[in-house]
Amino acid sequence: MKIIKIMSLCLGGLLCVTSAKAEVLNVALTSSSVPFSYQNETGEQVGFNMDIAKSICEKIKASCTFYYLRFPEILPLVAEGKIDFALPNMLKTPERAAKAAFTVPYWRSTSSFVGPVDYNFTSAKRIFEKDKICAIQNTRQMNYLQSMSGGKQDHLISTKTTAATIDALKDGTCRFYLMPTMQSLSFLQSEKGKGFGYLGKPISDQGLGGDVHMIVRKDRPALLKKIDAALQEMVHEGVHEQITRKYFPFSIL
Amino acid sequence: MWLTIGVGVIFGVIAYGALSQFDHAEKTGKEISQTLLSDVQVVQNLERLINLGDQLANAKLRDEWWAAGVAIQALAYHPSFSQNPKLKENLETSYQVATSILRQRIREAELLALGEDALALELQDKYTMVWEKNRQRLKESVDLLAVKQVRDVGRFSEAIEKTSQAILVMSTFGGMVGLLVIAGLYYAMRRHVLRPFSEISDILSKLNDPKSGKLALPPASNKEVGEIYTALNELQNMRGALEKMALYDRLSGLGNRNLFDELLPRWKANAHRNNQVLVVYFMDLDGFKQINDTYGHDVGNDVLRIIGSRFSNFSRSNDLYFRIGGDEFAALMFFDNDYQNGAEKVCLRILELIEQPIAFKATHLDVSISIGMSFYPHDSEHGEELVSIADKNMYIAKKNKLGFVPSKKSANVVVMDTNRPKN
Repeated sequence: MKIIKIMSLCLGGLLCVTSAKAEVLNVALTSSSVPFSYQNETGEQVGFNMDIAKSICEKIKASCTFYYLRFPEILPLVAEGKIDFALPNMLKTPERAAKAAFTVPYWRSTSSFVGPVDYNFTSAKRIFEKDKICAIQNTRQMNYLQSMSGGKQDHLISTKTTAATIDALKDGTCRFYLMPTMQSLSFLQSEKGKGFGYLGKPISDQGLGGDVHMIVRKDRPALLKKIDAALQEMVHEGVHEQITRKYFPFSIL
Repeated sequence: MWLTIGVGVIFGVIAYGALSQFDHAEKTGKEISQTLLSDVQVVQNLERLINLGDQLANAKLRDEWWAAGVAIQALAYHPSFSQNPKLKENLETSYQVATSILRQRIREAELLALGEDALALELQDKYTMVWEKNRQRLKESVDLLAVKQVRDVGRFSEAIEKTSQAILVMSTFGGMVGLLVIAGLYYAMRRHVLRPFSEISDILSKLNDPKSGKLALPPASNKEVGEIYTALNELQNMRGALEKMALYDRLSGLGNRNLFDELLPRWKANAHRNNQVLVVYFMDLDGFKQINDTYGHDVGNDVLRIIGSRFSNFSRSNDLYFRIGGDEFAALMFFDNDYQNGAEKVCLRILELIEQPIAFKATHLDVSISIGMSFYPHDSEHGEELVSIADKNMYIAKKNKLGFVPSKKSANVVVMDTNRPKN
């Protein structure tokens, strides 16, 4: 019994030393995407992804430094190893999977067109005939629009962030945009979104919907494993649901 | 070997059974918990959608019904509903209903702004009715799912209970078999390994005891132990041979000086314990040198062999004779009462025995002997002193041609042997 006590103390001591040396991780989020990652009135970065990221860091006992970047910047930095893991609301594609490892999904998405509420929307192709449309650079939505645009490439406006896309809609740079449905909901429900609405039904095929993942450096398989385990734990413990309820009117998992 | 195979098979079956149960529990647990979690989310989202629809149809403030309407649009096509085709159809309808009501509510607001309250009310009745119809469909779906969810939870709980019981039974059975196997192994080890080794250890410790004779070995329980017993037997035989070489005179077959020195203290102790008298005889052949010089050492050796043989044949069960030097002999004997008479009678018989002529070629050789005695404990309690007294008495007897001299304490008993050859 004495030996067991001594062993427990040694093991405890070892764990204390281990926990004292918390792993330092660089974590990237998008800079301005309500309600996923954005600055509130006091200038603090908040949002669904922010809360999820903080919970993961806590669960894997890591000391995380957060970087708020534009969507197109994130994947290259993860591929270069400068960012350890990121939450850019990314759908998985073979090209992206070649550059970064993907975690288990932590929410599911569709994409929706947003434009003037009184617009008689019939199809994306019809939009290109006379109007300009925005989408964030390097996104699945941008790829989709490029494939739909035919010869009207000049009607396609590339943006860097969710906020920039909404601003482009508001100031008339483009009459419509295509983005993940959940990234437009807060805007449409706000005073700022008056006069705009979802156009047509949300799209989940052609790579515009499905599982949303975090991305992790490919050379850190152990980190990927830890994040996956932490995410599953968060779902089972109800932490994920708690965070979801804070930002959305329904479950997005 | 069969025991090993049997134990292996039993453990294999138990391990397979337990692992299958664990595997089944893990797979079933993961699948069911995933399904249950997914169902919980679907039910929750459907109920929220119904609430949002109520808000869309009934809220007075524009911000409220508008927020509810776009939320329904965002929710209705959420991938979480895509697993259930019937539900998917219901939700697509709900999306269309919500989009339609949103338009009607915008129109209603415009009519109210224009003061067309009656038309606005008519519109309100219309979309409210549409929503109620849709609500009913959604309610039926959510109720069915909720019932299924409760039933699944019940089944899951039952499955957990059954699997836990199966694991408990397998573990208990495995534990019991494990204990039986350990007990069996312990018994087999004790019977086939520990007991033979314990016996071997006992035998080895007895081998160290010089008093112990040749030990009888028990039947060997297996081939290996049999080989050890064979080796022990050989060891015992070798030990006997070495002992004989060390303690017995090869020529006469009598004990040698070493044996005499070793036995004297023990026999003294025996005499003391049994309240007896120990008589130490020292004897020296008369005229042996002459035989050696006249006939040679081979004849001398033959004489010694014959003398030894006579002593051996003459010896009583408790007497012991020794050849302690060239032509010197000794004997140890116990006497009870009247030891002096007894000892003297022995002396007379020895004289008679030795003086019998020894046949040699056509003639015969005459040999005689001089005997000295000492008595324990009367002469001394010390071995060396007893030897010294007997030796001195022997020289007195030889010098005076007396045959033997009793101990000094019984010096009044003197036997004259006038027929002894002159030395």
